[in-house]
Amino acid sequence: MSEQTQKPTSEAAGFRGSRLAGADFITGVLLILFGAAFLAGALNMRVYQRFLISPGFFPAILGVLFIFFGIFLACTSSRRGGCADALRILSPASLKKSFTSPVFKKGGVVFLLILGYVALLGVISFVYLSMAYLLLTFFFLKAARWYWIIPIAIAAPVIVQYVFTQIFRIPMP
Amino acid sequence: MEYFQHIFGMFAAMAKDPWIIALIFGGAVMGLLVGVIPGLTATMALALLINISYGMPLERAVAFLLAVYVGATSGGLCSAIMINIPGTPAAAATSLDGFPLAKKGMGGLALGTGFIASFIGTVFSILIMLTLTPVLYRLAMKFGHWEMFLLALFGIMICGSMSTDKDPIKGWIVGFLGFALSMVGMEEIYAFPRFTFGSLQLKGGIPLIATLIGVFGISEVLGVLQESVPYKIEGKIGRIIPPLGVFRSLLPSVLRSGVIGVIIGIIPGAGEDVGAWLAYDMGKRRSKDGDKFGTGVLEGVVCPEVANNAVIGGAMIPLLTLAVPGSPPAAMFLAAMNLHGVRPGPMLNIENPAFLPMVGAALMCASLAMLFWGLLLAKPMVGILKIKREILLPLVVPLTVIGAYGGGVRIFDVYLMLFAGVIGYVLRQMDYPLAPMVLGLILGPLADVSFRQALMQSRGRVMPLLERPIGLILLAAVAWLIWTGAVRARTYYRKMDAQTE
Repeated sequence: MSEQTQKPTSEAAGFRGSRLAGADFITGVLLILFGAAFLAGALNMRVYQRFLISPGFFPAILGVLFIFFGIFLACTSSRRGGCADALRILSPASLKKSFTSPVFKKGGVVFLLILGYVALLGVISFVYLSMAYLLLTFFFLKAARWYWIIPIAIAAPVIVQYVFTQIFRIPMP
Repeated sequence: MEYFQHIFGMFAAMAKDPWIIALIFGGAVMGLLVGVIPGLTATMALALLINISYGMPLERAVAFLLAVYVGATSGGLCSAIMINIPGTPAAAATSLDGFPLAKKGMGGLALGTGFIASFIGTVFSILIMLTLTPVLYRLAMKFGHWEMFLLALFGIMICGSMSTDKDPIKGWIVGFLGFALSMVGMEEIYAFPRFTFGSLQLKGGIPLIATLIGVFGISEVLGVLQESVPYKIEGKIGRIIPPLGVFRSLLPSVLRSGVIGVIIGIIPGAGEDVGAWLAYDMGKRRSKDGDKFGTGVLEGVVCPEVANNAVIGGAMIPLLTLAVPGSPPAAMFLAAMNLHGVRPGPMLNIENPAFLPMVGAALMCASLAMLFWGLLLAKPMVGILKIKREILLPLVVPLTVIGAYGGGVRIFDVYLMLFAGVIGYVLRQMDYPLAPMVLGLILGPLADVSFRQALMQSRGRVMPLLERPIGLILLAAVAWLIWTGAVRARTYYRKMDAQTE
């Protein structure tokens, strides 16, 4: 197996296990809430003749299943200190630490660039928007030197637009 | 006999159409190139290139997409061997012996052997597919509402169990989340809008292609760009084509891995990576050189590569007969076929009898194209690994946007794709498998409608199920999966508890 994916040390595994316990607890609580909302939505659906054959029947079963799985996750993670870990994860200090970590910042900016790109899709033409998106992303990621970045960011959307509209006849956003 | 004549006829017809040949060779090389890049899987390759097939006639779309599927599944072995980072999860087991071979200066030989093994695996699985599928069509015709419901449930349960080596319950949760997502939109019996919140856009349901592109495309872009590790190419590539004797001596391993691959392919949602790992593990145990596995033996490359490609044909069997995809890329293929008006399932053989021979012939041509490009471009493909992922991955985003938009020609689908991408990313970070979610999204409507129709038919009673032999077998299989999954989960949680203490 690759060096990056080799088994972690027991300390690292313990730390990851502890983080996962907290995450499992939070997921458990969220699942309970989601299941309850899903169940409520299902029970409020129109009943045709009998509930068993009505549109809400199957979603109601799913809602119950989510509540069951949520309780299961919350209970099993609690035994591993999941509740305390969840509170620690959600504490302002921990959240601040997570949000200011270089990995989160990098991922956050990459996501925001994609979000901005998608949000502006119907507003700006696909080619110009893609050029701007690629330029900003390449520069942020320091993907290459500027004299490579600019031609790639300009050429790629033009080629994609031409190939898809002229050769494959695909509608563009 | 007539059936095989039909297949040869279809093969000849494809070979005569220059457009189809061009699309197959183009699709195979595109799939290979995407597969080479670590982080880009076969599912993502299909997600990125599905948009090209929107405007094509059915035969060309089938040929192109299957070529991409075969190419991308095989392409992952390049980076697994040369840089010890599998291009696709399917090639992870290949790196165990491929990378040590590259370090010894035999990287080229490992690449060539890997591509030939992939070719053999695909061809083996095509033969099994063409033989088994007609038999299964006849069996599938006997499936009633109860059987279809239990089949959908079985699919989710087994996919949840197989797609994670730790906690099957997490796999099941994700599978049921897929079910829940599929509940959005107009239900099929009374056309009642469910969970649409008054949105006209949601009445049509959650679009499958946009969701798949988000879950497998955007989440991978976010994950890979966040923690990019630089590569280092080890050793010289050297000779590519292996001596013929290599495969003669490995024939038992080839056959065993092929059978494992096909069986794993038939299991819903299990995927190429599971097949490769199982075949590698079995090869290590059964081979007389088993103790040398992991030190750089060609058999360690052959076993996973035959198996991961054999999954392709295997995955097509449940897809064509029951509309249940055997792997995530097969789910993508199913979505594309729905878009082209083909409804795989028990009726496919009656509605479109030429479809199975078409898939067989296209897969055969695709495997030949993959072998051709693989052996020809092995060295240049290694060169692609020198291009930084910071350049390649942002280029993927506009392609995902076109793919999501082109499916329904709605900007709304692009928003949904991004939302699905975020969900996929979060689930990945928390060690949840994604394949069950996709399968849940596909099987959800089938489970819902079949279950309610079965209850309608039996006037709310469950007892009639006990009079149906196939239903009982499926029920027993589901019960067995729940039992074994619960035992595995208990072991996992006990281990976690001990680790915490």
